[in-house]
Amino acid sequence: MTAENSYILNVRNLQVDINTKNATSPLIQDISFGIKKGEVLGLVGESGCGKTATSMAILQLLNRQNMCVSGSVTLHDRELIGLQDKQMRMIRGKDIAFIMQNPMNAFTPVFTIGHQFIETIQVHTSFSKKQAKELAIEMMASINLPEPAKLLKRFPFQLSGGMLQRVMIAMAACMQPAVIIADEPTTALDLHSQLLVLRLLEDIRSKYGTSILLISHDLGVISEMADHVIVMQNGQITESANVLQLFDHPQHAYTKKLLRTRPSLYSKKQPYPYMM
Amino acid sequence: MVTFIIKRIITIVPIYLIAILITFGMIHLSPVDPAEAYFTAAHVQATDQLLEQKRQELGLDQPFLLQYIDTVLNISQFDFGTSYVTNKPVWDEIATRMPATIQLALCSLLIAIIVSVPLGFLAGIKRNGVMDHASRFLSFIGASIPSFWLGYLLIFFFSVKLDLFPVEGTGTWKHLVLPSITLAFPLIALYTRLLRTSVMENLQETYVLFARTRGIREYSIMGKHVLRIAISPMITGLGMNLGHLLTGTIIVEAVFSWPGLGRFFIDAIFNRDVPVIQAYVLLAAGAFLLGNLIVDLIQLYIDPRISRKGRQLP
Amino acid sequence: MFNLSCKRKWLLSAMFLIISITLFGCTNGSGNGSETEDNKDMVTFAWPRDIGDMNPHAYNPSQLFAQSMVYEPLVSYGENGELKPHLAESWDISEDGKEYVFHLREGVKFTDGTEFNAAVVKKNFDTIQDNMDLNGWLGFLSKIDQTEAVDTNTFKLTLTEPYYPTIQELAVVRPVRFLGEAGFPKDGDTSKGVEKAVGTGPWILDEHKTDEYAVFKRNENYWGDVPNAEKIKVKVIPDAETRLLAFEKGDLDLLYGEGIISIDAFNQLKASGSYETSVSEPIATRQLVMNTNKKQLSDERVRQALHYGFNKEAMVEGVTAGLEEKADYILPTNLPYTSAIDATEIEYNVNKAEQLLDEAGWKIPKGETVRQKDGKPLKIELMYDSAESVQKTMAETLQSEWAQIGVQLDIVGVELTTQVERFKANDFDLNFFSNYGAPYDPHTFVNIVATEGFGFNEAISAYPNKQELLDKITKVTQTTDEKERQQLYTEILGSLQEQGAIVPISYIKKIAVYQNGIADFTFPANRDEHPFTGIRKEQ
Repeated sequence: MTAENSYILNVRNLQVDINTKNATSPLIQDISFGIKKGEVLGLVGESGCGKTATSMAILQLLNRQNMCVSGSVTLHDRELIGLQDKQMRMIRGKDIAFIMQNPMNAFTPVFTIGHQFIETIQVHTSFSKKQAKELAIEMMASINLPEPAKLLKRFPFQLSGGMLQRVMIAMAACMQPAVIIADEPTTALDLHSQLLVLRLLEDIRSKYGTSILLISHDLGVISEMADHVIVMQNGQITESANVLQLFDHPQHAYTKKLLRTRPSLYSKKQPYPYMM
Repeated sequence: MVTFIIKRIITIVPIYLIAILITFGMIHLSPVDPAEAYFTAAHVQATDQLLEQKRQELGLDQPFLLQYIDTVLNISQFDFGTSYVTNKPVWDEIATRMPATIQLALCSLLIAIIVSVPLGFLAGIKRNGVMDHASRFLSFIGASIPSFWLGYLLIFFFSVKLDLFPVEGTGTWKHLVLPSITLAFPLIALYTRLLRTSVMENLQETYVLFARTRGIREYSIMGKHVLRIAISPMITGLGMNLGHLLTGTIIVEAVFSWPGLGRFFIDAIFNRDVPVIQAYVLLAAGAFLLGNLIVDLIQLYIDPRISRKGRQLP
Repeated sequence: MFNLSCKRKWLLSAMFLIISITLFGCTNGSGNGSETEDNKDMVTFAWPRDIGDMNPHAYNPSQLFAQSMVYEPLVSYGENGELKPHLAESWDISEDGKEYVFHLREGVKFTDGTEFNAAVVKKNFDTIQDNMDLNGWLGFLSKIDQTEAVDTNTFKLTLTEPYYPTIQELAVVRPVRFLGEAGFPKDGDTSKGVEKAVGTGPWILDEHKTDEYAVFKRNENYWGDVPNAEKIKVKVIPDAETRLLAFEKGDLDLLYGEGIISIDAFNQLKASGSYETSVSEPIATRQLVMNTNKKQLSDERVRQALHYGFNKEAMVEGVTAGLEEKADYILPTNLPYTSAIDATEIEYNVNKAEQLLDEAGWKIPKGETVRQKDGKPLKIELMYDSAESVQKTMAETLQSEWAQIGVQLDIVGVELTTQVERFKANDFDLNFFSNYGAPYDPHTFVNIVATEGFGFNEAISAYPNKQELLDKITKVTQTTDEKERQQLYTEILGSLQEQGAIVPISYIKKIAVYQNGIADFTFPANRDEHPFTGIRKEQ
């Protein structure tokens, strides 16, 4: 066990309850995990088990009126739960970045990529438009996006899913956040784009030492990227282990079930060899 | 983008020709004999001889197609014929009264936009908030109150009792206030609801969440991102409602003695002044087409998805 | 996208420009600012329509009252039908009734300083006669043989046949009033318009903003009594409620006319005690016309029964809230020759009505409510002008009253033009009508009755003495014997009324409401003339 203060992001006893008209039911029950610097933590589970809710809880983006969040979430030892919205906003996008599942819908359709990229930069810095633009181009070039200047002028609907996802990652990484939460970053993409995206994430991790919370139901992706894995079911963590251990020696019945139900395609195919 | 505009402008021409055909056809199919209508409007007892004479004068004895072509050619030169009642060219009568109506309509539109955009927007953001209830109340009243009654009410309170504005007529900006508000009210009712619904729908969209995760200020997300997208249905609604604006001016102009086209049109109907009626209908059609064109252009500006053929890049 | 701020600025400035033009383009300095200045001696008045062209020979949309302010007749129509000298000081009529010699008033000048004389009179008559398609409706005009300016102040009119109403018809507001020389277009034809509104009348058109207002100023050089008020402002307010509101606010000094405000509004203003109200003498009779061509109505007993079968007094009082009066005669008695009509006064008598219907063979079968004869029900239709609330309410009243005596009355509201058309085409059972009043009647009314294609002639077809009546009508305008004339009128009007196809319902009156500072308001005797004679505004 490593000492708790070496965790960049530390989640302890996180509990999220939904208040419906008559009752309060728990959405996420007592989950605890931590991510170290430069580490990739995989979060696995079926749809509806609370994966996205967890990331939303970390970002303090849950609806305060009917959701009750308790427990502790610390970033660099700073408690996030109960933090004023103004301060939390400064953290979002800068210290903790988020990558969404469906990049086609994530961008505002009526503004150009550039507009939104610069917007993000300007929120967190005091750069002028020109400076922000330069930074954006620089960032996109460093991750080998073709013709960054032209790309900035495009509208989201003019780009493919894969491209958008990579731009999203560029935006996320631009501010050199301590943590990137990637929520199903490959699910909506074709295989080739998936490749590029995962490679990109790896790139960023090694360049900037960013910790990544990788949420996915795709076990292949998890097996490739994650260092450590936690399995969630019905809002609770059922197993938490090192990736190799999890895949070779799953402990929990549920984990076993998950591994068993992978499409047979995987058992035939080798894990992505290019990563080597 | 320019080609798009040009294309749209060109498509107006055939549509307008059809509009002329329909108006023309309706007048011909109606049981009212234009020659008789002329004499009735002029309060003259017409003998059969006079009727025959008038029919020839109006070209009614010619085949339908020739008459139609004649009409089209005339209209393209702004010749809408002569009023049966005043014996003056219809276009002159319309041209002198048009500015007043346009002024009233524009002012009302302005008021409607200025009120409904913030109101609808704020109502949509906070469901069941103060603004939401206010907008619901306004919409209910605006949809149920007939404009003439609203006009009387406004005159009674703000003019007779409080002496803030004049009762009727034109002259100063003060004269414009009450009629514009009356005309704008039903529009406000409609647009506020439209915008509210649109905003509420958009709040659930992914891009809102994404913007939040990027740390963008809430009011920036609402005011820039959401508003820009949500306003689109309202603008389309604006275009479609131009008809309401035009017909609304008829009533409002009568109540407030506003010297515009609406009043002139009412008189024409009662007098069976056929050329004027035809001209008004065509004018309305033209205004409608023009309005829709402008609205489409605005949409183009706001939402780039419309004009650019989404060419995907790898 | 980065020059968005540039585009935005463009758009914003364009919008700003549009807004400013919209709002301030309407600012009219002179517009209503003058309202407060000239208020002292200016009477402000409201009218539903714009006054139109000030052309004495033009019709709609020129408004009668306005034309009467600027242009004058040879003869004027006074109280109770007294025909008084106006621009003609005196006149001689020949024995055979065909020659009229008018001695014009001397020293009368048009507002441009030119003389009013026989030459100008003839010039006016010439253009009127050139447009008989427009003017042929006025009886004596189609009977003119020739006109002559005998000398500067003598004008002679010769007719093809004797026609006594000539003098009365000269009092009408249009078309026989006189335009000055300078007002005529080069070709002398005023049917397309006039060059200048030059008249001899007590008022001069000073300002005219179409569809907004018109200001008349008094003619300081008027040959007669110069008006007390300095200016009259006519505001164009088409809506009745708005007129009321404007009056209550004090923007108007006077409300005058027929139907200028609703009956309720009038009574409300009256009850408030803060204003002066006035109701005129009867100006016309509201009549119910029965089409005797229809089988049910061809029997005089049925017609009488219908007349007996409703409470006229209560209906008129109820529907018009006292603004109209129960009428006993088909023409008001303050017109020439109408005060001595001999016709049975019909009082409300349900029993008599039922008796008459029974006599006529219309009986109520057992268990039914509507009378029947030969298997057919007693069903009649009444058409009314849908825009006239008084007609509508009266129709509804009649419907329920006559249901009590077993008559089924169907009522149908139609547009005015349709009402006129159906009347002409004899396509109706019952119809509302009202006569034109002073100075057109009684001769115009009887003429209408005789005219084929107007509606009355066909409607009285079942009168056994119809031909006799028509002959008498032809005679009455031609006879030169005053006594005979009166006798004929008495007989004609009496017979028309007695046989029940024309039922007098109520006398229509004009109303006026004015602010406390207005004095000396009088109703004009001529229904179409202005009410500003003698009106004064006290400080």
